[in-house]
Amino acid sequence: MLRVEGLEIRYGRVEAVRGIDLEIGLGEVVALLGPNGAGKTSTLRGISQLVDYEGTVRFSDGDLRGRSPQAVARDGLIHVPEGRRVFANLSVHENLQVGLTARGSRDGYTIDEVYDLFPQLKLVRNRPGWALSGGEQQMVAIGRGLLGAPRLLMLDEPSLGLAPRVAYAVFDALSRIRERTSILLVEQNTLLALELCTRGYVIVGGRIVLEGSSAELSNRGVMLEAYLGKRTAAETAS
Amino acid sequence: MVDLARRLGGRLPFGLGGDPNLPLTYQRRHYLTAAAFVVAVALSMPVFFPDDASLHLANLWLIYLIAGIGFYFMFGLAGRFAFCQTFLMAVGGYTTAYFAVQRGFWVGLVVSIAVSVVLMTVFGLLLRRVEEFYFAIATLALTNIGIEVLQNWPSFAGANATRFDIPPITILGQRLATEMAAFWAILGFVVLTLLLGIFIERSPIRRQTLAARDRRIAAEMSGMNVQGLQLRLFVFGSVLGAVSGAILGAWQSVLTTDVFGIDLAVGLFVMVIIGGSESLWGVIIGSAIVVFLPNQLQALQEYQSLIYGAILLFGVILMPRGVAGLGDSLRTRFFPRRWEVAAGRGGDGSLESAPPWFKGSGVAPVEPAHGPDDEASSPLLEVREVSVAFGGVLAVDRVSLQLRKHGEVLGLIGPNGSGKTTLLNAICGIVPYSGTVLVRGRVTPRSPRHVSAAGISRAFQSPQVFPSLTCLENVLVGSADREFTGLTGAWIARPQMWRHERARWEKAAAALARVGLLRYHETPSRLLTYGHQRLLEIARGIVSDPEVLVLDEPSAGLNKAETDNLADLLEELAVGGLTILVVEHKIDFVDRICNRVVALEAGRVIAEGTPGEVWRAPQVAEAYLGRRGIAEG
Amino acid sequence: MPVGGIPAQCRGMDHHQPTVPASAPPAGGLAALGAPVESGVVAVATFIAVLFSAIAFAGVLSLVALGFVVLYRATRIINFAHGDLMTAGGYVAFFFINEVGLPIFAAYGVTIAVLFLAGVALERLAYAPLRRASDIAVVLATLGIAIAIRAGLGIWQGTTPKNLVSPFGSAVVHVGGANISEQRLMIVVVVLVVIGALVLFFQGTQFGRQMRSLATDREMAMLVGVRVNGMATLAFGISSGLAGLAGVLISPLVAVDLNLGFNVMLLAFSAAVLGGFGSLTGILVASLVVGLTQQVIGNYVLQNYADVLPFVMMLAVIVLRPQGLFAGLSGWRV
Repeated sequence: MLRVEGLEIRYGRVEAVRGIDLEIGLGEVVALLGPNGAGKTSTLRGISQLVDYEGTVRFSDGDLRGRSPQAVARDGLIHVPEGRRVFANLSVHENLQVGLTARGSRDGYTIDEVYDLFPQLKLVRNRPGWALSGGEQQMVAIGRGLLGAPRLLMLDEPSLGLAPRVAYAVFDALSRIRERTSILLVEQNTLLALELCTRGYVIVGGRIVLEGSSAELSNRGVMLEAYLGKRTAAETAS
Repeated sequence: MVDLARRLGGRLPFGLGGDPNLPLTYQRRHYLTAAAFVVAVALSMPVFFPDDASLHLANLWLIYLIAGIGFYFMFGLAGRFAFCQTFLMAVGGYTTAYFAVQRGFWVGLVVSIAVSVVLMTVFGLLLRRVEEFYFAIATLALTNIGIEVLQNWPSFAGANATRFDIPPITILGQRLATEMAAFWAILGFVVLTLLLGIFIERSPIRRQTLAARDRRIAAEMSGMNVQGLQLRLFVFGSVLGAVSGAILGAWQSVLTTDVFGIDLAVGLFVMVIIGGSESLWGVIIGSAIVVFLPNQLQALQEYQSLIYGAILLFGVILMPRGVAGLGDSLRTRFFPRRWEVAAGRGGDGSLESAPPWFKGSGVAPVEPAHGPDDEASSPLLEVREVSVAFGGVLAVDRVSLQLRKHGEVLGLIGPNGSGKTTLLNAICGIVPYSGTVLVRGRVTPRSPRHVSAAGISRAFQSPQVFPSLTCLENVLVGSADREFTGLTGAWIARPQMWRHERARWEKAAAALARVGLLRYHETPSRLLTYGHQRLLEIARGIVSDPEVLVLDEPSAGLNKAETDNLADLLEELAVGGLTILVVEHKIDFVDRICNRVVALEAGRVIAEGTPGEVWRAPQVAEAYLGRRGIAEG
Repeated sequence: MPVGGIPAQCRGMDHHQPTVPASAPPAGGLAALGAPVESGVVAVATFIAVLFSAIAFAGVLSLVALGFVVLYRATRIINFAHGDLMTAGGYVAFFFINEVGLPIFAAYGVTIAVLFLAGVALERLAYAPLRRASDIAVVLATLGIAIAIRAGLGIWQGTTPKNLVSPFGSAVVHVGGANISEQRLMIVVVVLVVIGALVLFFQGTQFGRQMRSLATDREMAMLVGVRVNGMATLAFGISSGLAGLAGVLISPLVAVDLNLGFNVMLLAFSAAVLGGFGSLTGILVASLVVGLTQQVIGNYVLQNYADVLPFVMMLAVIVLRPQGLFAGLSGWRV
């Protein structure tokens, strides 16, 4: 469903992404792992057409190059960026309502279903975005994304800055979402990510250094060394 | 033909190709150009302005030119978007008129200069922390209030703020009552203004102003008093406005507030924009266009404002660098600078030889005050229980660390969001914090500018180089010696300024040589590769012989070769006695250059020791990869 | 040309500006009342008249300020041409009433529509190309457009001030012994209706929510599918329409000259700054404060400096509390 080939992204003179190939099939739940600054966020931003890139991004067999981010969202490729980015001046309910913009005529979660998924939000329905806790904001952001009836949901670091209990609650909800929606998950917390996803890619320094199933990637020693740049995938003895 | 010009470049009379014995800024032939301009105007006067009517227009042009030059310093260089220049002209005009009636023009002029200095210093101080848009409308408000006050002050400004009785300028008892006489007097004022302006252009002020305008925080971290500098230029520009108004009143002998309206204010903007906002000469051309063009196109008199508006609109879109940009393009074709020649030959602008004025060899390290490994009498850097809070969240939570020995390199590691950069910002006084930071036993002040004086130099996560400046100028901004870098040095104590400048050039070039960038000394820093910009920042950091150099992810974005080069450089600097605190990610890099490592997570120190010890600590692995036992909550 | 300050016609009392032509409608409605307090009844009547004058003026100010702020929040553009769009509203209305001969309310409607379209055209032709330019470039461009509009109007209609007749003529309503022109009442009513409509639009429709989201975080709005470019054009149209409406409402009360809009815009800046530049409540309250200060204080005390009091207040707010007096308090956010 999503196919990325030879993705390269630079900001001015800095190369953030140096050639990445990815593939997500219908119904899959895939993780994108790696340390800070590796290029994971840039990859998502390239895919959703927020930044310029070289290479090819194909979604449902259509090339996304040249399309605006809003058109991409309306097509069903929904990007929930890092930092939650709840609209501060809108209430929880209004945030969710705005999420409907991308929906078009597709079927997907209804607002009620989102409240079922995140019952805490029912209590703060009319509270403005700036007054929400980190966990509540993350739930709003995910719910807002779901209301766009995504065919593929891209989530950027949903656990960032959340207390462990809250992160767990969020991932619990995600495990229910994955039955209905394909997900591409960017995460720094590899444990949470690998519990949710069936396979993953590890990006370091703008390149994919490891890829495999969740079971394979759960080897902590290998992962730590991949993260901290001591060895590349090619050198990894197995 | 072009080739010939290039080859002759160094040997044209008056060094028209630029004097290679000075750094780039000082190569520009300011005095020559100014003299050529003045002579041209004086000589062409009988030709272009043969009668009183055209001479009248020429005088108006020169008077507006003075105000325009003032506005150039205020807005073009210092970057302050201001609408108050017309108000200053009114202040100058009416104040001078009032005092001139009884005491003559010169007394009036002195008083109006004094008044404008006081007024605008107070205003500038009150608004020093205000950001651009609010500053702009504050100046609009000031202008409105000021004009209204004048209109309600008949004893000072005349009924309805109209004065008919303004005496003309007198020199040695002679009243300058004719257009011709006024012309020479006004030209004299223009010469004086140009001189003052050129003195500023040929001084450290120019590079400092551009640095502050482009990268304010980095400029402050280099020790510059940005507020003070911008205020001084703002006041200077205002004084020129007042002088312009004073001359206007004396010359016209009539003054009303009508002329000091929005049209003139926009005209001043147009003058500076047409010229290209970084060029003093552009203002001359711009002012000529603003004054003469409508007159030439008599038929279009009605459309004058419309044309101004259109010029402003399209000039901004199509010619962002103005006429000066065009002039620059021509100059590059026919009289290219050395680095442009080098760049044109398919190079990157680097020069093969060292600058002719450089006496050092650039190989020996910056003089270390101590040998490496010497335990200093008090810790070089001590961070005690520092905490930083952002709206309820503790980004840094009671962190303590110490750098005790000269030449020690301490690494700071941790995952995203662990507070590393925030801690650096606190140490450098950029964000408020609780706790104490000490350098050599002395508590550091909590502002970036003073922290630099205390001995801390910083390089940022993305290199903050000043794009409008050459590499040498970039490093010069970091110089510790700040003697005679202000208006006193520029206007009054020029020999002393030159002396210190030459010493500063020497040190800056040595720092550039230290990092391997000496051959780029003339190249504008925006043309450097990313890796070289990093090195440039480090050169700027070391030129002031800091106690501690603080680096934020210096290897980010560098390829393998550049990273190795950087590690080599840092090792050499440490061996030479420089103490370094570095935030980093790459395990190889940290292993190579750091003696000790501190690991942070969620704002707290979770491990400390040698690199090997820290990487093996289980809590560090957890911090990077995520915690087990989430389900156990 | 005078640099700013309130046009003489907007002040309650005319002291030293004899520029209002004899054929003009009563300036400020108060020229007839002239001298200060004489007897208790007259004092109350004067006060009520002044109060209504202030409220009406505040209403116009708030429309201008709102238009400006809506545009800023949606596009981050400071539109220095906003005031001149208001002037254009007055001129265009004059044209349709006097030269085309439309009935007054029809002319008003057409004028507002024309201004709306002008805003759209401005966005497409002048601002869209500048999307990537620096902030200074955009501000200078708006300055250029301001001058161009003003000059264009001057060329089209000449520079003598125009006088529009109120649809109610000189009809007055008697309140507490004072004569309040129906024009002023209409202004208050219209402003309340328009603000109500705006609130409904922004709070109650999907379009309105989309525009608010765009104003808060443009990139995130794109990611939820909001068509940001179309919204920007819409914002320009709404902003210009509001300016045109303000021009149309105020024109029967003052002589419309080329400086009118710019001067009122400066006062609206004051209101916007005082009100914290974002909250609707803040702008409304601040407009009232500005209107009251200028009219009330200007009538009883400090007559000569009535004009600049709002600017002094604005300056004080900028120095002491740049985020405005009302920022941070809850209120509907536009």
